[in-house]
Amino acid sequence: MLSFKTIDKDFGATRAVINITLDAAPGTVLGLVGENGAGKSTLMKIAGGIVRQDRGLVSLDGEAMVGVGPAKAIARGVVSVFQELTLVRSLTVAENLFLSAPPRHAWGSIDRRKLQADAQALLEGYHVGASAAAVVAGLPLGQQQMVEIIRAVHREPRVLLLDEATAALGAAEVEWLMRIVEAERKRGTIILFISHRWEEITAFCQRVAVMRNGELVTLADVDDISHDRAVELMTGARLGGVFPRKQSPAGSSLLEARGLVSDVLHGVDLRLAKGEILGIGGLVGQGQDALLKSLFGDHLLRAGAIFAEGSPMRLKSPREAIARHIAYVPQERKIEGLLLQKSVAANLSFAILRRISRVAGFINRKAERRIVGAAINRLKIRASSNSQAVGALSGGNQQKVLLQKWLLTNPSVLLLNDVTRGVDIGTKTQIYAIITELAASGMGIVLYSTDAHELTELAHRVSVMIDGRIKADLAGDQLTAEGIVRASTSAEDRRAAAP
Amino acid sequence: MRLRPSGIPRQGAVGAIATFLVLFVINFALKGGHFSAFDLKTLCMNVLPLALVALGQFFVVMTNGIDLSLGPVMSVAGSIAALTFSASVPGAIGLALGAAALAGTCNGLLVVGLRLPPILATLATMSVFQGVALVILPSPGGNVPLGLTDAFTNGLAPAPTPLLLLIAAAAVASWIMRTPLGLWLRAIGGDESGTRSSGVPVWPVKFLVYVIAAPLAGLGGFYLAVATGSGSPTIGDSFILLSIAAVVLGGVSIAGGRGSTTGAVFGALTLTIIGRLLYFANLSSFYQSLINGVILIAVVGLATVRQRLAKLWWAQRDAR
Repeated sequence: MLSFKTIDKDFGATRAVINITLDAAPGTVLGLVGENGAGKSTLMKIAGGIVRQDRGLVSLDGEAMVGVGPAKAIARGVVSVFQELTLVRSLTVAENLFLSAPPRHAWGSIDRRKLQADAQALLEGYHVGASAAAVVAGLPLGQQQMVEIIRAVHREPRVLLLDEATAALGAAEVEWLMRIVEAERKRGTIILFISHRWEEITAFCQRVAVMRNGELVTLADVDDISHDRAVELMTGARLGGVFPRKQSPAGSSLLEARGLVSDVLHGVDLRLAKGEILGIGGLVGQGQDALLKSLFGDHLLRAGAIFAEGSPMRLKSPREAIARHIAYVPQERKIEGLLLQKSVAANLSFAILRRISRVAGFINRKAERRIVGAAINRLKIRASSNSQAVGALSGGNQQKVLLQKWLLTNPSVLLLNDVTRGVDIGTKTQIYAIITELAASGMGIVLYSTDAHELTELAHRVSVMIDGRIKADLAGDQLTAEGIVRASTSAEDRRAAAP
Repeated sequence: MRLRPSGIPRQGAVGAIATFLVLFVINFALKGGHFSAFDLKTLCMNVLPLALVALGQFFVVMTNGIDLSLGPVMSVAGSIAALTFSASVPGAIGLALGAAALAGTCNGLLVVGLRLPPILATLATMSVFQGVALVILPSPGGNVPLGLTDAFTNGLAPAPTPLLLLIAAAAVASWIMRTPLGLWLRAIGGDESGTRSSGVPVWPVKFLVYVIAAPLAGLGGFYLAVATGSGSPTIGDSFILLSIAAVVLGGVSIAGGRGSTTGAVFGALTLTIIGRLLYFANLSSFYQSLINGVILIAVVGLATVRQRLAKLWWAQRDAR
């Protein structure tokens, strides 16, 4: 039994976790749901020894867990898989799998051969298609997440903490994880599971704890609570449907790509009309990322042509893309999009520095404050002040900052690279409303998402990618979540991911 | 998606080894095509102190740290040794290395205990250790037994003592890099927080790195005193930046995570042979610093260009 007793945790003025008492029993999967900032991740980090609570006690089988540090937690059998990947990207898969205790020769040096063989056996045992000798940085995000998951499970944990472990996974990979979690559950492991996708909560969990603003709102059997009821509890208000209504597309061509070829793309054509939301679907790592980046001039293309409003564009130049009013909101916000040490204001104004610069290049701070203040209001970003560092914001709010940063450049084409990954339902709803509104105002939007439901509801048309090609174009009646998943996994599935 | 050997550029020790070999051949030619046992001995004597301190610096740099105090640690260790040889030779060695280890512990405590940025912590201790050396030995001097100098510089003809010491130090350092500790150094330099989340005791490892680095520098200072026959309170100052240059020249990423002990040793060898080249080319040693910089830029710059070309080559290969 993992017990939280009257846990409190503050981060500065923010009360992240308030007086939480909660038990998790062996052999059950306990889902934690709630909006970003509800305190789910903080609670999990307290259990995992990453964060120390201000008050209260966590105990495992009656034994109090004191002191912090992942190493200590792991020694006690408490193992975490985080939303943000914690693999060391410059090391190989094998080195990462056995990082804390690699096999050694009698004279102390690492037994490379055994390390390699053990890692390969582990990968194959769990049907992960990555090579043990591969450097992690070269793997698709989904496989990195899978490697991290099997590293956690291999430690034979007493408590397994999964904090949005499915965020980077495609549909087949989520099923793969479900089989693993089910096996762990049968073994008697205590499992805590955070996800923003309700289907996953019902599929993975027996019990569900709903949190709101740091407090535990409800603890129930997952069968006794509907999605609508859960959303209601999370947000504290009744919502009129999660997805906004769709407008029908029309208009001239904003962006057109012909025969895009690179090391991951094998001939992609697409056309985006004014006011259209074009969805890009498929399993993780089928070239969607490269496609969006190439439209933004940030991917090495070997062949192909891109036209913005009919006139050809220089490839490989994000500067040109920006000048042609194309904006790109990246996926891994920590790596690609935000300066985490800098303030919200500085991040927002970064892409429009030229517009708010005065003589001799000095930044017009007054104009900056005005534009940024309006932007923050528009997006309802929860920050204690404009000068707060972006890194201190919750994930959903970081994503909103990033989106707003590019909207300030007044783009006519918006490329969204899985922007709702790991974002809570409330923030998602806001982002969906913004996307729909922008499209209605004539902007063209290319939306890549790993969430088939999201694509179904938002996009006018969805192109499903397999291995660097568009395998299916779905629209009208064909455009359903099932249709997308079917098209993603149909034909010869070249990926050696999950079986 | 095709798997690459690595998505991360590697430069490795190749640049330093190649540069050393080229310079060595030029040196060889300048000397009229002969390389005697005496030349080998002199080269090893000249390179050993820098190689030792560079190996120490290597461990620190691998964790994305830097140690500016290693040069002055050499001065302190050398000064202590020079003053105490007359009492007892093993005692002098013990005292010199003990003082160095103490210095390293101070660095470790500042960086790990107080969480000071390494560049700041060691900038301060650099100054402190410079002062300590001057207090111990206000002007060059001390007394080194002649027999000791002979034993540490000559040894047996085909394998002079400095060569043996160099090989031993490189072997031990290379062994460390093959242990879990070595893997953790690469991991910490690659992604410190990820490494911590993986259950690696990151802070103890970082502490250890400073404690290992200083005695290596101390050994270098000790050797300098023995080889020159006297101690000097400022002899280590030129090694402060040379040790960093040697490490970077050897293909070690200044941001940590990538590099090899072989690279660090060949970086030291390259910088050392430049000095000898100038001597044989009848150029003033004033040129040394200038040439060091040019070579550093050439090697590191070439490695960067090579990575770009390799990337292009992969793209071309995929096209076929």
